Amino acid sequence: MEILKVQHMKKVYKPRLGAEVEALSDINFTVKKGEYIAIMGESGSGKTTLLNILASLDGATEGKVMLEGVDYKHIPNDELAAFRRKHLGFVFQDFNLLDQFSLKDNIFLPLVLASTSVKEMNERLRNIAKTLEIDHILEKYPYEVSGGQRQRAAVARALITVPSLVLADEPTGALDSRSANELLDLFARIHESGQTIIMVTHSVYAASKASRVLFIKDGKISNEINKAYMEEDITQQIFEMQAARVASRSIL
Amino acid sequence: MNRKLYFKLAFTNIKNNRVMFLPYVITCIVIIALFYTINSLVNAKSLTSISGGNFTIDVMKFGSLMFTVLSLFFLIYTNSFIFKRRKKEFGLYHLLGLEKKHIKKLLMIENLMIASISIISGILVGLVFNKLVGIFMFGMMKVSLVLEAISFPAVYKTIGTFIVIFIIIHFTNLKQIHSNHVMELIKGSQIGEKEPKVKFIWAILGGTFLLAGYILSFTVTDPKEELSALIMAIVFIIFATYLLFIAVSIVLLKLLRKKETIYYRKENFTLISTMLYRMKQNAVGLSNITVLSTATLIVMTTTISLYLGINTMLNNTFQYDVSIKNEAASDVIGQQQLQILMDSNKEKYGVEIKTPISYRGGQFAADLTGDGKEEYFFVLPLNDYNELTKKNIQLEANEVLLLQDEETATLQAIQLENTSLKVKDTVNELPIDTSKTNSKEAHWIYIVAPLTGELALQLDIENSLTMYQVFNLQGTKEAINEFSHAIVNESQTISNVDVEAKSIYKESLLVRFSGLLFLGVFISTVLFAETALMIYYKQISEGYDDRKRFSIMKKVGMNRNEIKETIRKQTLIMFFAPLVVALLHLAVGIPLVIKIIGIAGMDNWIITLGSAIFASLIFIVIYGAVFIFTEKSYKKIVER
Repeated sequence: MEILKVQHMKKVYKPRLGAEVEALSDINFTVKKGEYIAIMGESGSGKTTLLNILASLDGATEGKVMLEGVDYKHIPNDELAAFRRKHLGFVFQDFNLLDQFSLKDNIFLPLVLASTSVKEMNERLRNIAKTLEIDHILEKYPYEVSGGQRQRAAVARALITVPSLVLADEPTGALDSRSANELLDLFARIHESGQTIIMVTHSVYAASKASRVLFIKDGKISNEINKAYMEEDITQQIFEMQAARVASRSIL
Repeated sequence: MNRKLYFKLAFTNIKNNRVMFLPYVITCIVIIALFYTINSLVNAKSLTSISGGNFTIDVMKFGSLMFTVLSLFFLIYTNSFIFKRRKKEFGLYHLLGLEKKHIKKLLMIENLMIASISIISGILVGLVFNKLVGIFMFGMMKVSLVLEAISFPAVYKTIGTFIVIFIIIHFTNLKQIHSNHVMELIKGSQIGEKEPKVKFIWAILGGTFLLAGYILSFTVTDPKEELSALIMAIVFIIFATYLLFIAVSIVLLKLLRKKETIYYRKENFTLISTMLYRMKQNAVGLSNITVLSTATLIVMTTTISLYLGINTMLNNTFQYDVSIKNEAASDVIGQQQLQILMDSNKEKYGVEIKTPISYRGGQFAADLTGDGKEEYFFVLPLNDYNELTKKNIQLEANEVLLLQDEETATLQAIQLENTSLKVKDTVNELPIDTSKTNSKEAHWIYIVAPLTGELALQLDIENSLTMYQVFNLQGTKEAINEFSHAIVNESQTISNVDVEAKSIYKESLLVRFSGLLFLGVFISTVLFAETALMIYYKQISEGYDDRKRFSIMKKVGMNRNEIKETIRKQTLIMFFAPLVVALLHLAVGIPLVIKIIGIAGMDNWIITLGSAIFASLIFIVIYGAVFIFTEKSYKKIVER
């Protein structure tokens, strides 16, 4: 079943001065329910723009983005926030936890915004906190715990709304390798339980954990690697893809 | 490094940080302009020529001193605020290879630029200010004086004082640069703030202090006698204000957070947590703002009600337009001279003498009531009393009549050393000038006694009788005033005679209290400018912190309206909490203000209450304007 469909999507920035910049041109792909997709690309390739558009934080100039059959263009502006809250979960590189809230309250934030009852919030949290192994630090504040713990709290915040799609932007970028591995294991487990994930990353290792890798270059999807089975090691293929890209650049 | 480069860099820095520097420079200019104006009044020779002018000069001298202290304190405070926000910038310079000595030099040049701009513009603005103040103040004083266009002593004093202040500011900057490590500078204010840990006991202490201060301020009946109680009340209230913001607010917010059904609601969730988080950094700032606002309101209320209460004071001191005292009651020649003088001036200025009364009497001091305290008393001979009232009252040698007031109403007898005198009766009014009963400084008793009685003998009254003449005048205001001046001046040649006139006293009161009112306005302006500046900087620096916060909330699913609503509530509370507390302090303080200015003979509480309401309204309007301006800048930063 298709969960996300992107068709002929284009994003053009018009600076106040100077020429138009085409950040994304003719992006086409679909994501099936339960897929775990990694998007790779160099800085400036347009992958952050793509993620922002998928997150409905930014609008596409042309083309269609549809999540569970709903075209982003048809959602009125004042309902976008609620849409985001209901259907999307976010994990960021720098965690984006709020210092004023304890971890528990950070996780509750989207639920409170959706006026969920205290009883239900506590029930949902109990399950998630156990899976993410943060049940013993829920009352602590973000600056009191480690980076890995902070990121797990951020994952909990993304999952607690039971979103159709989790968007992760360089989730391992600010973590040491041990915490990064733990987080990737966590993502794998979440994926196993049926969660659809799209992750933007630089890391070959992180990307190799996904079920499908999309390569983005100069605003277009240039290549794609599909795993035949989840345990397949595609590290080598990703390296080759990157090497080919470097080679093509040096010829130019 | 090249000198030109320093100047260019300093100039660019000031320009790029104009959000911070512009309000600072404007405040500097206002303070300097007012400082110049005050000092030009101190040096205004024309003021010495009018009655009460020297008082005004003294008031301005005091004001000048107060201004120096206030400006030093405030400018250091705001400057350190700007410095904190710029830490990162200095850290970057370090990374780029500038040494501490280079940064110090850069800071010096920046400070020099700001100092020159502020001092020069301040004096220029001061010249205009001075002209306006001259026109308005002399208008209120009702005197026709003109201030010199420029007062050089004031210019020199202003330049000197503020050069010293800016040098002190520079030293505080140097100290900051010196004591900060490069990495600390780069990190700036990024370190995560811990949630305030507040003990419940501090909150209780705050509440207790507030109550104690309020109760104490109510129970003070005589501010002059109970000065220590008065100061205690003020100290209690100031401490309570700080505790109120530091502890009470946090305890309250924490209680709210514990109530899950309240806390986990869309409209409260971010508000409560942000307030709690912010309180640690803001509690002291909010308390400062509250204390300053209260001070501004009290100064405004006091000086406005003194100015508006001039007529009350006047009528309390003078029952008649003119009162003449001749200490040698038997001096017939002096009496004749006085009569001639008045008759000729009456013709000259075209005034009529109305309801003239003359009588004899003596003023003494002794403990009459037996309470261990001395009373002042005035003895009116029985003959004079009977003559004026056309009665025929008889008193025995050991009997007296008293003018009735709260204390004398119940007196059965009075005691003079060993002589006891029976109070035969008390009367509701005496046909003489009894204005001294209005005096707040001492208790006066008016006694009617026969000249041959025991009291008169004991006091040896025959040899110390004074002749009194009091009367009202009819004519135009100007004629009455000129007549009063003429007889006061001309009577100075007659020995033992002392003439006082209501219209002359009024002139002196007008000059004194107009001067005081202007100083009040100056001080209020500075206190308010500082309050506004503190509020502005607080909001701006919070804006930078909140920007990230709100961008996260947007991503997590908060829409624009919800963010706007939260910002609005937050700024409203932060802004108006100090105002509400300050107004509460003022409301409780009004009885105390009434008692204090009662010492000056101004006992009309309606005027004081009106002044307080007027001062509050002006304050609220200007405060509101600052709020709107600040909220705009804050929103701009947050929504960028």
